[in-house]
Amino acid sequence: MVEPPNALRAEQIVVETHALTVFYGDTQALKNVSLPIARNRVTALIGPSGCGKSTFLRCLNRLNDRIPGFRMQGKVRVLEMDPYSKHTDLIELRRRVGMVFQKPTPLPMSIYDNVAIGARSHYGLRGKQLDEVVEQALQRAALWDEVKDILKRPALQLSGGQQQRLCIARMLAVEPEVILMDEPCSALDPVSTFRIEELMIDLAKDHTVIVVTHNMQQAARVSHYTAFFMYGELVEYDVSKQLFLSPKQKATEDYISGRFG
Amino acid sequence: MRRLGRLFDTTVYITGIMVSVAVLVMFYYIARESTYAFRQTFSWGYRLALLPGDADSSATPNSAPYSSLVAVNPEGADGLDEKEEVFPAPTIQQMQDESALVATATPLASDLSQIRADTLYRDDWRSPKPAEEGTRVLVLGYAAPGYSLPTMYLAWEPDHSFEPRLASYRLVLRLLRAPEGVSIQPFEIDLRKQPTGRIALPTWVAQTDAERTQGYVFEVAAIPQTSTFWATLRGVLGTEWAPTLIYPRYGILPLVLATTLMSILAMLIATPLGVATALYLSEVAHPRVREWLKPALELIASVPSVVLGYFGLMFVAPALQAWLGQALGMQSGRNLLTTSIILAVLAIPIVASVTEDVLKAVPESLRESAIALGLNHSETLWKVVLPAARAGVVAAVLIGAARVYGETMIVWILSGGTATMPAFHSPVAFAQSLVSSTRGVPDTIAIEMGNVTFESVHYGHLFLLGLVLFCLTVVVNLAALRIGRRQVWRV
Amino acid sequence: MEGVGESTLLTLGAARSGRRSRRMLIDLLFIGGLRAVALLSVVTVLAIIGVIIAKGLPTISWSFLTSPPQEGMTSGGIYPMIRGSVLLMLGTLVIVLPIGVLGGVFLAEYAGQNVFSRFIHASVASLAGTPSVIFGLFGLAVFVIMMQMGVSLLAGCLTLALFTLPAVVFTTENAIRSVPESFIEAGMALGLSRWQILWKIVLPNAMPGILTGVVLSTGRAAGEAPPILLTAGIYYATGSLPRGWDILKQPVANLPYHLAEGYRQGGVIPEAIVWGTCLTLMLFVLIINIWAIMVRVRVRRRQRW
Repeated sequence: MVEPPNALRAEQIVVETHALTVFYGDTQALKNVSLPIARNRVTALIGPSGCGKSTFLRCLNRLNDRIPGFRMQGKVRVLEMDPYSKHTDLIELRRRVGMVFQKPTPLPMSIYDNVAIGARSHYGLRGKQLDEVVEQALQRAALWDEVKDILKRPALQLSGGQQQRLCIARMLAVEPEVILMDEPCSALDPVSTFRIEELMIDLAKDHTVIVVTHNMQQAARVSHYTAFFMYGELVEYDVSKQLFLSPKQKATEDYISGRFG
Repeated sequence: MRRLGRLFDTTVYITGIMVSVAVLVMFYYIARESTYAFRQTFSWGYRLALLPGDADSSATPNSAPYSSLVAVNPEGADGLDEKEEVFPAPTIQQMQDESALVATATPLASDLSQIRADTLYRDDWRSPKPAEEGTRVLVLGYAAPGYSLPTMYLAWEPDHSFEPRLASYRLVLRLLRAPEGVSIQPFEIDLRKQPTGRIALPTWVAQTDAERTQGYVFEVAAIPQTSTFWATLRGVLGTEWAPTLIYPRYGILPLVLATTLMSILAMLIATPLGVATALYLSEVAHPRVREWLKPALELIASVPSVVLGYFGLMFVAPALQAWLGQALGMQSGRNLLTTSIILAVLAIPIVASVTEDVLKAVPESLRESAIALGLNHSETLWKVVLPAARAGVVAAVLIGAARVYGETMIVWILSGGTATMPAFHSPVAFAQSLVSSTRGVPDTIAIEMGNVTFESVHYGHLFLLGLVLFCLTVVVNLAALRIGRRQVWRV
Repeated sequence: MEGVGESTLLTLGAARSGRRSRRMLIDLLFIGGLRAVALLSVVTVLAIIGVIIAKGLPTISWSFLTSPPQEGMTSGGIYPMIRGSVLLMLGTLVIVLPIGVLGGVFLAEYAGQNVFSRFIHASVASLAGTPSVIFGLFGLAVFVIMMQMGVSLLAGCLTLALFTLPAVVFTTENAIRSVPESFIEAGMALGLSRWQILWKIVLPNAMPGILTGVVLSTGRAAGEAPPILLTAGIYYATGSLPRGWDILKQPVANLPYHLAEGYRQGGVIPEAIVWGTCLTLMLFVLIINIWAIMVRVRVRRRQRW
């Protein structure tokens, strides 16, 4: 069992797993992971590919039980809700827990509709109110100036970086409290990456951001806390500076110094 | 070994090129055979009679005893080549015995100076001349000595199924010569504008058989205005399909419209059902359910259409007739609506199966994004998955439509078989034509090809119909191919 | 959330509770509707098949299947029609298999990816969507009249072969394309030439797919009446057939043609015999299909690439 960092005691915990174990068929993807996550902080999950960090992320909004052969044990609590309980309103959970994927996934509709679709479904907004929400979301995602004149164009015409910011705007328009990001920059160029990193820091003012990343510089730059996963296990969890400067575990040190992974 | 390889390569190339030009070859031969449609001589037929001045207005050339039938039929169309029935015109003596008052006669020669009393004929059935430049038929008109009124009438009407309005040539009736001593303005009547009618003439009484040849001489002449090609095309664009008439009509519009209408109707039924079934199969059903359902659906796609047709005939048609027959004034259960329903049964599995393949190709990431946004299942399907698959769904519907459009046996068995133009002028009339007997393009080809003389005009027109059907389905299929390629999520 | 005005926030809170239940209701209705429609489609399908089985089964007996019709089609069996259908299907298979498979090989391995191959694809796709009656017309004009085969088994087989050709070409192409690239690369690494790779690696692996596809499409062709109507059909068939190759020159009776022509003649054939014939035809096609589907499933389970 990995002890959570001491600094976490001063924080409010909004997301927490206890002894979370996940199987896909015969493969064990997560082993006994207990991980509390602090409110309004950026928490980075790092580790080699296939170490279970994406699986962990997808447990938090229950996006992985669509995969055949999925089984889980242990406890998950997100915003006082249990995603795997029969009584949980999953729609409400997912409204409060937004997610950004590795590859930008603009929906096959206009830029405006991409941002509006969530707000329309959840809050039934129309007309001016909806316009306002869309504009706020796009502004917050630092995309407004680039798209304000082409809102009716198909979202697929945007560049990769713009598409990813559009996905962030789409998520923000639903007003989530927790934001899950699954390697949001791995398909992007350095400039777009930089902008999204800035955005993460900005979002962490009033959101809990959990980001999976391959890029350790990125984790060091943006996150308050970092958790290191390997072979489905949580190896080390600490304040980011601590973890990157003086890792306690040999495996962590090997990984961040680039010896494997 | 290497030579064997070379041989194999060559064989593959030759076969491949054969396969890829097969559609062009088919197109060429069907187009070639349809040229027989353009090898037609147009036929016309008129009946002319003199009526006594006191005849009531209901008297017609048909009821006049000594009227002339001026018919120019294509050779052999009526099968009477061997036993031509041509009667000599009555002599004055015969007319007096039968107390006939007026008569017309057709001279054998079409030259005025050649008319002789002993070669006057009242033509019954036919005189085989084509409606070409210079074709003219003379008709003489006269009264018998017993006739006493100052005027008599020339009346004219088309032979039974001949419709002058459809003729692609000018057809005129004119007075060529009046008898000596009778003063009358010459007239010329355009028969296409005035297909039936009568006109008063001062009486000319023939006292002897020789004086019959000095009676009124009328001429009916057909004057071509366009080439045979355009005239045939004009005929093809007509609103009546009646190829077995003595004066055949080859208008394909009723057939094409009926087929189009029933395809649209069938697709209106099949599209929602097929797409919904596909959505269920691909997005809702448990994988184990899908494993059974998909083959079950493919099974119906393989039920022969002739069996579906019989099923419709024995069950759907009587049921529909019993249920709606009274309310809608249906003559029989075999009509456009019944046909469309069974066509829809044929189309549902096709649409469902193709749509399911398309939905499967929608990337999982789109569904995940929608779910992560908190959209529920139906919102995900309706707002994200379906729009993403839109092009493919349209292609699926087009593929189904092309299949339905060319379906032969179901339409043959269920349509009722009367080629009629659907009515569009009012909603009620339109609804009426939906529940009345009809006939489509493919079934017409299949039915009539069995009774047709090879390489005849009718044969040519059936190939022309085939050509139209071929082009339409190829266009729809190519459109489906093109639209299906344009998948929106392809970044 | 900063940025959104206070008024908006208030409205959001009030509107949401009512909306949530409405959304849930719509979701239930929509998904329920999909289930209902799918059920309806499948039930319709099974009902039609069921009705035809129920109606036809009483007629079917061993003697119905093995004796010729009697008394001008009003009694007796349908043996000549079954025989004709089998003969037509076999003839079609023999003709279409080599041509279609080679065509598919051409499309998958030789045509490349260019304007020309797109033309070929479009051309074969249009052929695939062409109505069967058009093939009948073509067969009539070219095989029956121009090549002077007359209305005969040979003309019918050629016409049906052309009808099934595009489907065979496409299934062959797909089957070949689904052979994993690694197999081909392994062959290349061994220094095999292109046709050796095809002959020894690609075709053996693609064969199950090709065969089921071919059988499926000939099965569909076996149920089509219009091509036969114009090229090979005869209504009054007797029990005997000429020996040897002469059989190719004779017109044949067959099941769909019998039903079509029976309808044209207008109620001469008693209803019981019609249903029996319908069922026989359906079973003929269904058995072919079920067999092909089963083979496909088995092959898929075995080949886990």
